[in-house]
Amino acid sequence: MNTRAIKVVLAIWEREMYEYLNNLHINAMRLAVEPMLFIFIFGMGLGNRVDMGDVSYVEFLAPGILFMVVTNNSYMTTSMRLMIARDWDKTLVNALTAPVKPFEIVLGYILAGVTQALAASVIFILLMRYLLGISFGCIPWLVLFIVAIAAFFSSLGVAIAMWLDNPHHLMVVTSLVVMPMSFFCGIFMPVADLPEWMQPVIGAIPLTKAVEGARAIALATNIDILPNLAYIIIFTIAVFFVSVYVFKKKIII
Amino acid sequence: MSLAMIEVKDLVKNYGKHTAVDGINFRVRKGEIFGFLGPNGAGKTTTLNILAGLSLPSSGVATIAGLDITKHPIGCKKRLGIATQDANFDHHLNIKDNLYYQGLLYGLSRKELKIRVEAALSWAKLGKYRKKHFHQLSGGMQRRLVVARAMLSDPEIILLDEPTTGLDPQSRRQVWDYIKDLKEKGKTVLLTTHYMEEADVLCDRISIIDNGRIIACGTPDELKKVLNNDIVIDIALDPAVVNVVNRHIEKDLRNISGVNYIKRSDNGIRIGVGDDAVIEQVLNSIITKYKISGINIIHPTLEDVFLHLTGREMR
Repeated sequence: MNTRAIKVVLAIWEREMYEYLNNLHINAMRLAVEPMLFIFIFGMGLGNRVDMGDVSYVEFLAPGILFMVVTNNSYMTTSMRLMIARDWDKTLVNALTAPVKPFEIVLGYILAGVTQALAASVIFILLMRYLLGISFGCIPWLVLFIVAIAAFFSSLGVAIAMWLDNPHHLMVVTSLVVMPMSFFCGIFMPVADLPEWMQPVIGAIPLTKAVEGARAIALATNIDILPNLAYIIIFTIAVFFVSVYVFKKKIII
Repeated sequence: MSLAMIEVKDLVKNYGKHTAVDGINFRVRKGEIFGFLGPNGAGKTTTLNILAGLSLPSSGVATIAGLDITKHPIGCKKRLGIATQDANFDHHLNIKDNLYYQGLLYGLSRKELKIRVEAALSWAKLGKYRKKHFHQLSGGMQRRLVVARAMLSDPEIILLDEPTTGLDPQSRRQVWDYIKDLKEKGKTVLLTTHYMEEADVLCDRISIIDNGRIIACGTPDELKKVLNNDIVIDIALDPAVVNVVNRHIEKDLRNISGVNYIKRSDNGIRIGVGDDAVIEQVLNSIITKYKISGINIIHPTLEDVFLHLTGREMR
């Protein structure tokens, strides 16, 4: 990437972050309230009736909810913002008339998605630590997983937003694809508890690998997390190229 | 031959089986305002989108300052400023921030960009509205802002896609003044419009496009001559003497070269002349000798040419 391309990516990122920070009061409220609701209802309410062996259900749940936060904040924000820019504000056209390449615009949006997911993760980790005394283990490793999975879901957000022509269909895809991932990918219960035929399918989803890795980091279990990280990165790169392809295909006709 | 800032050769754009642009050719010279005139769906915006890098040609070549747009899109876009048909601005940002973030994409330094944003706002006389959102501006202000945004990177060439559509006459004329100012600044302008008067007033040369093909190209005056239409002078005479005076006038005008026809009418006489220079000669020979009750001079319009070439059916 040359200097021009880096400046373009940062310009897109800066604009997305400027809007994000302009609405910080709304975003902060959502970031704090939404995951904590899951923690209180599932972790501290229903969780008292769940036996997870050596750890409490809240401790089991926290790394999972962290990655639910990452998923929502990367996928939802990227796909929504891109759809607004394409169909509502129509500002995507402006970006394309400037000396930029589609690849750089996509990268800018993904970078903004990753940053927002990281911000949401920091808030969640701090709330969990200081309100409930829950630790997430080695933070640098966790950050690597967060960045990788946020980049994956941001890329997916770009691909799906550009693929769909109708904004209403975004909600359908979210309800039918992204939300079920939250329920099945090991966030609320171990994948081993799922029906046997589902386990290989669910196990292959990058979110499952991320939750597995984060839980291993938080609970200091003896699992090698590097293959999980590598798996997510490979998927992320693949989905990124798909998102650039779909973006180009749909926007430059 | 002067340098072509935009050159299009055998350009074709197909959408499935529909051909939106069908092998067009044109050149836009440095410093001129070139009009692209055509009915809705003629292929104007498609051509502009190809030049702006928003659409890929199916075949043919388009160059910006000698650079092929498909091979050097970045180099071409650096030389272009585009005022799109839609007033497309980020709803959540004020107009100053909208310009700022668009300018950032051109790799300008922040210091330079801030100066240019202020200069663009001031040029469009929108400086005092810098904190407003674009939907709080009037239609005319919005169009000025779109043109100001196109100016932000100080491009050599500016593409204006129907810049006055939907504006009231005052706002339209205001935008015209801004477009004329672009020419004075030495910019090359490619303007699409379906307003004949706009093309006539602003453009040095015009291409008329219909069904994806260029059907005429030239200066407004050259195009008006396509019809071989004369300038018509309608002279109203005193009804009591109209039949007598008509005959005398006919006799007097027969010797003036440039008078193409003389027709008697119920209340006077209709004279067709080839160009403006003959009008004065004709009027002098009539007014000094006869009592007349009215004069009406009708020039052929671009609209006549346009309707003649594109037909009258609805698109």
